[in-house]
Amino acid sequence: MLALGAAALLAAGLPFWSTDQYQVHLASLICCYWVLIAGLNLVVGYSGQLSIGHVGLLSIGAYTFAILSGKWGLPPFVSVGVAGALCGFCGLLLGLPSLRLPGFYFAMATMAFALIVGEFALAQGDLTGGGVGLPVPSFPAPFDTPVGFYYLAVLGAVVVSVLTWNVARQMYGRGLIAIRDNPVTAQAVGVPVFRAKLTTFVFSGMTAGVGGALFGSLQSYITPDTFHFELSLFFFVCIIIGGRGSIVGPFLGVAVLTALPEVVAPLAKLGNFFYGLLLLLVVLVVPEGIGRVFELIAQRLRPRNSASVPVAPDLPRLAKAIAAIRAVPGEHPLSARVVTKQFGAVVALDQVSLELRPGEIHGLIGPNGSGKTTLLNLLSGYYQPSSGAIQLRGEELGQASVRRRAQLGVARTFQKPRLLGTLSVLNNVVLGAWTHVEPGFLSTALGLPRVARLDRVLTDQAAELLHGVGLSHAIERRANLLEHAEQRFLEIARGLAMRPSFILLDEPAGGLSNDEIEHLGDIIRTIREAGIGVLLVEHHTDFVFRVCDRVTTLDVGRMIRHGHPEDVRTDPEVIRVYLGA
Amino acid sequence: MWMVIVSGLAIGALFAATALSYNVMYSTSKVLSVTTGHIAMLGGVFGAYAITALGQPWWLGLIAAIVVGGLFGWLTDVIAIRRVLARSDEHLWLLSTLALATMVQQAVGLWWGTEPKPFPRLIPQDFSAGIADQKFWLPIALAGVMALGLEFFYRRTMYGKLFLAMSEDAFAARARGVSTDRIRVASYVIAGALGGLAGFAAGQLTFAYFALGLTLTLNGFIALAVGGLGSNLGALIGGLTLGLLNTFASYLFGGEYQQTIAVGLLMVVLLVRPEGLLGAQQIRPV
Amino acid sequence: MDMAQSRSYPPRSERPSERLLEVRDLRVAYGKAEVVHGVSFDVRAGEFVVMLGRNGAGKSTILHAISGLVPKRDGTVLFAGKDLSRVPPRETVLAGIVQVLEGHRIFQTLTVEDNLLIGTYARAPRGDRSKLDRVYAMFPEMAERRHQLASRLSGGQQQILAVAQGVIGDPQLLILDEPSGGLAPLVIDRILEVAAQLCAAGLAILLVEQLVEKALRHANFVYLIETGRVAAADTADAMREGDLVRRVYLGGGGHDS
Repeated sequence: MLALGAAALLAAGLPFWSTDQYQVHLASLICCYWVLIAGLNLVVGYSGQLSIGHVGLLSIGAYTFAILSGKWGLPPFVSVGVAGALCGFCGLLLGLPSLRLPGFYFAMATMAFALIVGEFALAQGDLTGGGVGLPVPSFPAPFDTPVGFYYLAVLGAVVVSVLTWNVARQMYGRGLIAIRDNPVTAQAVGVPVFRAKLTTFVFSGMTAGVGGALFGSLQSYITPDTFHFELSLFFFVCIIIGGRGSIVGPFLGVAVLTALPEVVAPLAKLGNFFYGLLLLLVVLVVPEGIGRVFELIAQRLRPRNSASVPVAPDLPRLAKAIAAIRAVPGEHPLSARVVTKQFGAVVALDQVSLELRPGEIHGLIGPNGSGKTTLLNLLSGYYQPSSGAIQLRGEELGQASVRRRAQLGVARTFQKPRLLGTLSVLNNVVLGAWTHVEPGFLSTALGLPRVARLDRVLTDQAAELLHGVGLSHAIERRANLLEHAEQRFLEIARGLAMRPSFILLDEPAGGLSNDEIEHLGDIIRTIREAGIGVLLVEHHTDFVFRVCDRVTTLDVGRMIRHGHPEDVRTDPEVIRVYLGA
Repeated sequence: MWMVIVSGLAIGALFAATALSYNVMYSTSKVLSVTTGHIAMLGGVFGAYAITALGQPWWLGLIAAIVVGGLFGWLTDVIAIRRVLARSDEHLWLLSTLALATMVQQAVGLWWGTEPKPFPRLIPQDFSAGIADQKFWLPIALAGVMALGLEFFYRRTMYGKLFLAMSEDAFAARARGVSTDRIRVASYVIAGALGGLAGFAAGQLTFAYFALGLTLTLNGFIALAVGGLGSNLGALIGGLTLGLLNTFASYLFGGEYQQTIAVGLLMVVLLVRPEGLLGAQQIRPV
Repeated sequence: MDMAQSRSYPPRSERPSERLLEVRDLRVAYGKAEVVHGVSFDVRAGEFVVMLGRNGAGKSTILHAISGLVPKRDGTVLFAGKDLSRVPPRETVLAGIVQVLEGHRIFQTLTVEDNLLIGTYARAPRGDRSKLDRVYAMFPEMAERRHQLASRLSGGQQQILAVAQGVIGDPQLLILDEPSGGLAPLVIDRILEVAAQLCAAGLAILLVEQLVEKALRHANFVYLIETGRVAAADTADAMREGDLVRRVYLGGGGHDS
């Protein structure tokens, strides 16, 4: 926030300490670009959708403004609004079919969009003036002078910065980063992946429209050639070079890359070759952007707590933390009733039933290929049963998506920990509380106090959970610096942040030392005491027998024994299954 | 009327050849490279340069196109693919190939000029040859030869079978002692050589034009997506369909909405059959 | 139950000079997680060695590391005197180690015969047809289907193809990673019989299996792997007598993991 204020002050003072008209023009241009790029930043830098066609939206914004105000005489500020809305709508039309496509397909679709807009601009001569182009009117006084316009552009830049910064630093921003880096995790905590991608894309359309109107006015005359495809590349490069997941980075990116060719003349001739080269260097050397380089330097200067402290849970604190976030504990079980799952001709599960009760630790064991993971995936919503039903509180979960199950209180961890490496450990856990907030884009962007307050409360709760599972020493650390065992405990904390009635653990002991497995057992028992049902899928059979209240054994998709641990362990069928005959 | 069909098949053949290049590179690296269209552009430009500017005979121009294409394919692997694949981030290669494509396009634009330059006649022929003009038949013949050649390569040669094996399961191939790195590089060189050849064959149709790369990347991709990723027959069908659609649309409605129509085709196919006409169904992970 | 070994075998300590494969202090990590913590073991020439252990204990990782398919954090791998610690997979194949991966990973888009030819690729880049006859004799059902696409084969047949693909490479050590996966008992028995026959003929076998009883049937020596370490090593006879295996798989009775 401080940085933004300082930048705004600096910007406001520009016309006073620079007498060069050209510099003011350049600064206005940077602000116009930034209005578009700030929105695009959320799409590319945060939600990870590689859109290379935004010049098309810039073009529509500029032409709309030129036609409405220039040709048809509407008041300029009304035209700007219409331009923004129209481009947002275009973003909707483009995003709806394209955002479901894999990365390369999506990029090509956006590129095609930009080219199509160019075709229309050239072909619809009556409307757009064809190849000759259109004059673009200026804004009414006092914005009709270069300096006056400059202040208008700065205003636009500040507004869009505040909006995107609000989104970035709160829950919605975390959700976007999850979509970018680990969509499975995003789904698992309940983020509406497609809806969030589309909303962000529409927003970026709106800012592109407004930016386009301003840009057009600054140029005062536009032709289809003004919006060459390379401009799209330029926007994209500013964000990647500045760094994804940052607001300041891309702003510095656009400021530097716009000004650079003016200052260093040979670069101007090289034009897009230079941008391509820069993009290549960044991708190969510092893929996280130049902003990351500064971060790394800052890290070197800060005193490091390097020693890896072993995980040591604080069980009473954990119990309190869980109690603090829990909804009313459930009374009804999560159950699979006579469930069969087939993949083509392969029967992975054959009429298996399992009941997970609240306040109970239920173990699920079986050799390789017995169907344990399939059953866990069915309970958590990643697969649908071929026959039979998954029920919660008596009602059928049926087609309920992973996200819906998150909302209903079903949390899970993964065999290989799925974390958001670029976020702090704390933010990873706070993300788990998504369904508690269900943030809307608009309310987040506007920075409503309600949303901000909730964010703070959830952050505190998440911190308590982390203290509880024994990660006090790593709370602010970047998640991709964690040791393996720490990653596992982080996932559990995140699962708890989801306020679950049930938590499904997928081989959580994998790769843990004996001490860490002890800690894991303690944590699981604490979770049970809080009234949460725990499903423990594991290969460490002795661990399962020690910790669980009941155990179910599977073999080639069938349930062969379930009951108390001692009974299962000594059952001759179970022994046969494990030792082979 | 025939002109519309023949010219559609010709430009479609170039799209198909580009789609085939995509397939070759994709099979070993699972990467769709933005530079695919630029390979053909380089073939056309350097072929024209060798023949008109350097005064070399046509077959030397042909060799130049193939060599430059193969070299650029190799360069794509070294610069944009190799280091990037080693990291786990899925989309970095999109950025790196986009960067390389931009660089090569701009570099050629600076050196060759931004105006399309005429491509020389390869076989002595009258300019009034109509539908029998070589500018149509050369690319069509080439696309056919390319597809047949690739089929022969994959089905009849040991090396081609290694490609198929690596494409299906690279880990298992490594376990059998196959140097998957070397095969990947080879696939990029082969795709480059074929792309350069295609650009050379279609040069008289497209002219030697620096900006051809990006439109060809896009249209070749549309051909690929329509026909089905991974299918060479699909690439042919997709390319020819797209080419014919383009020329018929121009004939009927005027040539201003080429890109729109192409994308329209893509959208229709993707909505009805997302994996393309002949593409493999996505295998469900168990 | 027939527990007779295919041949009698002197106690191991008497023949150190016949060490074919020597693994010392092997450590393997996936990213930040170390999954193999300093494993050491031997395979002698002509020996049938079995590696047991629960899932997730690190067995497959050890095998992949030996063949160079995953990078090693530390440790040495010596084979017939050659240091294979830091070489690519191709070198291990050329040296004589052939691994049949878990899950019958043959190439479904190729024919049976082509799959076999790829097994000869390492020593003969164009494929060595002369090796086919011997393998077809050993696996007649493969001969019958030689021009069929591998995708048409049943699961059991695909596993047999995978073993044949390994055998055709003339290895000195054949590594089998859980060949039983999801197969019918008769097929599993067949595969293990083939392995035993090859062993009797002089090929060293390193078998990783979940099905303890079946695996011990033909074994000479057994290693027990637990959370990335060698928990026990003994002759197959001793393992059969003792309770160790049962306790490892099913726990209880004071055995800590």
